[in-house]
Amino acid sequence: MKYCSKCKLDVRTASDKCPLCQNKLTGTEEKTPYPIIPTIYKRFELFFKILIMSSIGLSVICIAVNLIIQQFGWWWQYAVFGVFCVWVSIFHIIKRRNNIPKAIMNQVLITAIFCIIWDIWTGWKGWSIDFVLPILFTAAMIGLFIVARVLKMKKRDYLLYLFMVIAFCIITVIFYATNLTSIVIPSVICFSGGILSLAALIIFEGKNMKEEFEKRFHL
Amino acid sequence: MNDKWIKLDNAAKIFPSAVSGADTKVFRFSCELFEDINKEILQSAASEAAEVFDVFNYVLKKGLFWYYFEKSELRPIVEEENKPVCGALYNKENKDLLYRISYYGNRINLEVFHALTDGTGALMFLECIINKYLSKAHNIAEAELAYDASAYEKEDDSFYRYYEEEKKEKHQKTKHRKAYKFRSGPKFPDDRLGVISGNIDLKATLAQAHLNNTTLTGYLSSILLCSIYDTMPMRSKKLPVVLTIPVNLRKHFASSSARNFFGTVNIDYNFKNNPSDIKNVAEKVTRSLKVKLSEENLEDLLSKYSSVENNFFARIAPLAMKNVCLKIAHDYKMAETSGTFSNIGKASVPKSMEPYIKSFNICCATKAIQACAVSFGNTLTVSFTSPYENNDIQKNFFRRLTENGIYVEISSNMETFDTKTVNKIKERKLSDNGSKEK
Repeated sequence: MKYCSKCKLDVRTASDKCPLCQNKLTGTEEKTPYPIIPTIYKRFELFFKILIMSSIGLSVICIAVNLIIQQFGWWWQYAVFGVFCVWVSIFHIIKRRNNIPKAIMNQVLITAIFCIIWDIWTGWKGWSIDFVLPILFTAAMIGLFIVARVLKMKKRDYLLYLFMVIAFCIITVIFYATNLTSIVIPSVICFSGGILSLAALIIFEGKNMKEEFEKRFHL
Repeated sequence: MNDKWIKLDNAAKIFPSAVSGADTKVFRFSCELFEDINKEILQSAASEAAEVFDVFNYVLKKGLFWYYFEKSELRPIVEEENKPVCGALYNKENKDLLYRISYYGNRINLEVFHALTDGTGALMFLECIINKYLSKAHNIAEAELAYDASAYEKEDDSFYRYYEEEKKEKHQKTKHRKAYKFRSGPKFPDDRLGVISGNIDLKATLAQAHLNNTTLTGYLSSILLCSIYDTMPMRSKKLPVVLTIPVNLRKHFASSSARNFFGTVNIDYNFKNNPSDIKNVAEKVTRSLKVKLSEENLEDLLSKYSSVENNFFARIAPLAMKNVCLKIAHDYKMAETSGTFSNIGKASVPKSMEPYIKSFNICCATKAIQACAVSFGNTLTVSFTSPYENNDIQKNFFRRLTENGIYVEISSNMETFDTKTVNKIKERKLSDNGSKEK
């Protein structure tokens, strides 16, 4: 036990100095009362910094090259936006890496929104709502279900996300009804599949769904 | 499937939104025994205690409007202390248990995320763990614990139980006054907290409290207020020094809930216009405490807390918006206080357990400075936590005690932040890190 003559108290420590007044202590040293904890290396902090840097780097290079080679028009806007889209996708995947159903749902949403923006930006050829969205939603719906089964996830962990992806599938009926689509097959398959899945979900997991809703939406 | 889920209680609702940096909203209860802790026995004791206190085995999840607790099959895994004191327990992405049981040398630690329960609830859990540990380690019968509550009573949201629709008389609106905040100099790296604990002679302290015509809480609060005042620069002396004191509402409203059931009152003192000697400060503090801890004031407090939560517009606001508003409200409230002082009181254990226990210790994460007090036998343990390296307030506090002839023994984790000392510790093997199995 050590002693501080200035503070007039006993100090249980391995150090030479009083923790209160930093004056020298007298007496015998003891084991330190707390473990030594090395600083935690935040795993993804460096990764994100590199990611942002490379995104900015790539964008700046694209702009620079375009400014030098101007014959093909102002394509740097597309390049930069493309980099941005990829960055947002990767960021969201890493952020939700522990919750796969949520990651899948977020990716579906992000990809859908970006595709629509690209379509509008490139003169609205309709390919986003004709092909990409229906195929994306249907694939996500099936994929989510398979992943949940394979990983033996608990129903409460994925049911809600499955429901939301199914809702996306059903919403594609709006594209069909408002004649926005010229090619109807993908949309029809998508929303029919969605309605079927919804029916199955309600019939077989209706009670669990109701519980999940109560939890998530309680006031 | 029938997964159990419960809503957060009123006090808990603010904690997930208010977590930031060093303020992890985690508090730690420790108990020092007279022997080194055996990992296997502790694990066995912890697992059994976790079944008795099944009310703590929840994970925090997000709904659209509110957070909620979902029952978890996870059970505590005991490890040697390997994380910073009051290290974060609530991780937004990882759904893990909101408490942690660890050990180091002769000490058992229980760290709890405040949304789960308050000091009283955690102490009951710790006593259960120690009871089972001692019974297994020394082959004695498990003692009969004083805590008696059914599984439902343990989970009772007592805030909601005592909530009545708003009474006609409006609540007294207190003016927002900025308090003096000690925010000086460098912080510890990595959002860590510096802990300084003092084991103090309880009888001598009580004698001093009597001399100043006040209670133990009153006396310690007064000393703390004066210690803070000692560090105030000239330009800040006009600001009041304010201490936030949590109050265990179970003492005033019948409840055996193992969840949160506490309120906070602010005790302030303006050193500019008033004398700064202990006797005068103690007098004002005692008077304030009497008023603020009156039945009437606590009832008012309770209904004020619950009325915000049960307000229609508050309820329908989406969680994302609530988080922002709660964080702002929390920071606004924090500006009104200089620090927190929490006196849990006596840690009473069954007589058969007493000879094996040396002392208890509590500390709590904070952004500014927090002092927590607990007593066992003739030992009063007061622990300070702060993210700031400057610990003049703590120095003043302990010196005021030793000046009055009170015996104090301190220990701290700050030496583990100093590289020179760390090297010396490693060289001379002065640490229990990676200790041998019994």
